[in-house]
Amino acid sequence: MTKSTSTVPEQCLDDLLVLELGDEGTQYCGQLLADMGARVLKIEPPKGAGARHRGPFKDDKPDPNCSLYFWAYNTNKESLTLDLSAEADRRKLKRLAQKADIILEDFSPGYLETLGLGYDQLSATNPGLIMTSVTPFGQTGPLKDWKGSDLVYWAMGGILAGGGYSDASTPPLAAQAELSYLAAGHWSFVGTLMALAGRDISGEGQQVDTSIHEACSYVNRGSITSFPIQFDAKVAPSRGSAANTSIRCKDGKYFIPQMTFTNPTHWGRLVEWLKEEGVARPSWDEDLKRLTEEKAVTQFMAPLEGIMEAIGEVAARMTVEEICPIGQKMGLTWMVFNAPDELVEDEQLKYRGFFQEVQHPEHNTSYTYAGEPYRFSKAGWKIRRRPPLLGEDNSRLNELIGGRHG
Amino acid sequence: MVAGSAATRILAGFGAESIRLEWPDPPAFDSGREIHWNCDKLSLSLNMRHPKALDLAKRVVASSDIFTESMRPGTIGNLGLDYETVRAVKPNIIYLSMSGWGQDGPHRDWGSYGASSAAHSGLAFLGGMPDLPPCGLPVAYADESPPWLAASAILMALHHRRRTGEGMHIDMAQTQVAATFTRHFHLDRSVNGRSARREGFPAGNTREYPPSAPHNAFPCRGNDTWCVIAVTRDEEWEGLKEAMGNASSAADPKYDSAEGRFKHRRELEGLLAEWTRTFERFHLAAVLQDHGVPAGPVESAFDLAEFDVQLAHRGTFHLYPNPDRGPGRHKISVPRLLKTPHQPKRGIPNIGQDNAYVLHTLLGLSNADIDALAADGVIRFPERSGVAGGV
Repeated sequence: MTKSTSTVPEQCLDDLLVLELGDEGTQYCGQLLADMGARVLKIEPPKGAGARHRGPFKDDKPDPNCSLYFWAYNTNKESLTLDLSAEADRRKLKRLAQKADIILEDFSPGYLETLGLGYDQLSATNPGLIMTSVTPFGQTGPLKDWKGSDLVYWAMGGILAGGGYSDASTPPLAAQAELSYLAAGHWSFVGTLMALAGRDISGEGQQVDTSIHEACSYVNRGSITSFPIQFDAKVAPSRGSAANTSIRCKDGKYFIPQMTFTNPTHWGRLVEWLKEEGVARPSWDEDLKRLTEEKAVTQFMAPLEGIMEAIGEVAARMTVEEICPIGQKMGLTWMVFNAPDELVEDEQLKYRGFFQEVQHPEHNTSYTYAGEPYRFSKAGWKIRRRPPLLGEDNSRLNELIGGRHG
Repeated sequence: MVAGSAATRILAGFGAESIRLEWPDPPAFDSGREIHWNCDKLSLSLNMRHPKALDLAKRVVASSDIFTESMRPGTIGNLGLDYETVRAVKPNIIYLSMSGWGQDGPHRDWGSYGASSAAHSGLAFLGGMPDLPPCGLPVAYADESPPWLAASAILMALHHRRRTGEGMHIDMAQTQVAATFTRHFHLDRSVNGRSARREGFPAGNTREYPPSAPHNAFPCRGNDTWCVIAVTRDEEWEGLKEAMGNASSAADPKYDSAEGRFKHRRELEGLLAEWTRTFERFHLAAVLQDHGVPAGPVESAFDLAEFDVQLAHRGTFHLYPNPDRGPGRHKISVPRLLKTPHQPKRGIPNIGQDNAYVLHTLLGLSNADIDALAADGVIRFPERSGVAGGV
C-alpha cells in the first residue's frame, strides 16, 4: 500500500510494491518500474523464470544465474520462488497480493482465475490493486488462445512483410531485436502508469489487458489508412526498402545516407560536394533547378538520377567514420550501422553518462549495462542492484507477508 | 516533431485535454501519420513570430499541467519558452523535451530520424543475412517507441507531483532511448568480450537462443505469401508432425531434440516448405495453431486493417472524423484499461479549430479580444470551420 510521504522521494515510484508473475511478457515492464524506484518482487517458479534458461550466458555456460538475456531485463528486482501449483504457496501469494499496488502477469487468459488468483479474486480485498496482463493476443477475441513468438508477432503485426531483401531468394526476415516484447513492454508500462494515474484520483485499481500482437500492429505505419477510408499502398514499405538504402564504405561497414530534404539547400550542398568529388552527373544542375521551382523536392529519397550510386562511389574511397560527419555537416542525417555493442564508444552517450557499471559481487566485478531512457531533473532512473539470483530474496517473504497487515 | 505529439496523443486518448500549439505556415508535413498523432487533441493556431504570441502562449502554459516540446535543443528557448521561463509562470509544470541526441553533449545539434536512429543504436544491424548489407528494420521503431516512454515519463512525473507538489524537467533523446533496446548485446560484450559484428551474424530468421527450428517464414499458395512457424519446444514439434499427418520425412529421429532440429535446420526447413506451399497462409496458421504450434500468416498493412479477425474483435482501428478530410481509420492505444479505457471522443482537429475554446473558455478572453488577435495575425481561424469551438 502507498506509504505516507513525510520525506522527499528518492525516485518517482519508490512508494510502490509490484509483484511480477511473469517472464518474457512482463520482464521489461517490471524493469522499467523497478528502475524508477518501485519495489518489484519477481515471483518465479522453483526452477526459475524461462528467461533464466535462455542464452547468451556468461562464459557460454548455461546457468540460471548467468543468463545475460535475463540480466538485461531484470535489474533492481528481488527474486522469490513460489510453486503456484501448491496450495500453501498460493496462500502466500494471496497475502502478498493484499499488500501489492501492482501485479504484472503473462499467463494464458483465464489461468490465474483457475488458481483463485484472478483480478476479481485478488482485488476483492484490495480494491486499489492494478493488474497488468500481457498475453500474445489479449484476454478476449477469436485468437486469444493462439500461441505466439517474436517471429509470429512480427508476421501478424505487419512488420515482417517489409523485412529482408527485395531479392526473392530470401524469405521475409525479422531482425534479432525482439521488437514484439519491447513494444508490449512499452505499452503495458503506459497502461500500468495510466491506471496508476487513475488510482491516484479515484483510489480504485483495475485490470489492464495488453496484447503483444496489437502492440506490434501499432508499430506498422502502413495500416494507418489515409483519407478517405482507403488503403494507401505507397506508405507500406516493400520488402527490401531498408536494405536498398544502405551504402558500403571502404572499411566494409555500412551507413544509411538518409535524405530528408525538407530544406532544398541541403540538396545544393550535396550536389556541390559530389561535384568536388568528381562523381556528379551532368544533368543534375538543371534537374535540381526544375525540382526546386516545381517545389517537387520530396520528403525522402532523391529524385536525382544516379545520386545514390554517386554517393556509393565516394564511399568506396572512405571509411564510414570519414563519410558520416561530412553528411552531418551538410545537414543530412548520415549514420553508420553500428553493431549494438559498439555504442560503448559513442561520444555522445559517453558525454551523457549513459552506460552504467553494475557490481556483481559474486563475480567480484562489475559489468556494463545500458543506461537511462529518460533524464529526470529529480527522482529519476537508477540501477540500485544487479538482477537477482534465483530465490535470492526468499528469506524476506515472512517479513513481507507478516507485519502490519499480516 | 513526432515524439512530443505522439506522447500527448496517448494522454489525450485517456482523457487529458491536450492542446497542440501550431501554425499553418509553413505547412506541416501532412502525412497520414502526422494526422494519426493528433487524434483526440485540440488545436490552437499561434504565430510564434508575432510579438504578441509569447504572452498568449505563456497564459496557455500557466493553465496547463504538462508541456512538451520536440524541437532541436535551444530552439524553444529562442521562442521564449524554455524550462526556466515556463517554470516562472507555472512552478509545478511537468516539462518534457524530446530531441534527437539530448539537450547537451557534442552531438546535440545533429539531426535524427527513425531510420538513422535505428542504425545508430544497432537495431538495424541485427536484421539481415551474412555477407549482405544490413536489411534494417522495416518499421520506424525508433520513431514510434520514444513517445510511449515519453508518455510514461510524464505519468511518473505526475505521480511524483501528487506526492510532493513538485514539477520537473525531463530530457529525452531519441538515440538514447533506442540505445536501451539492445541491452543483452551490450552485456555480451562486457561479460564475454563478444561483439555482434562477427562472422555469420545475424543469420536471417535463425535463432540460437534458444536453438529454434523450424523457425522461419515458409512459402504458401500464391505469389509472395508466407506463413511463419516458430518451433522451440519438443511438444510444438510433435504438434507440427501431427499436423503434417506424421509424414515419414519428418519422422527421422535426428529431429527429435531441439539441438538436432537446430543442427539440421536447413534440411528440415526445406522439407517443411514443400508441405506449406500447398496451403493458403491464414488456413495453414489456423491448422498449426490447432496443433499447438506457434505460427502466423505474414500480414500486410492492408491485411491488418481488413482481414485480421483479432484486431477487428479488439476494436484496434477507430474511425476518426476530420472536418476537411472526412473520416479516417486510426489505431487506438494498445492497453485496454477495463474501467477507464481509451475513449476516442474527439476527431482530428484542423489547425486553429479550437482557438475559441482555448482563448475564451480556458483563458477568459472576450470575443472582441479574440477578434483583435485574429485581425493582428496572432491567431488564424481555419477557413472552413470558422470560429466554431471544438468541444
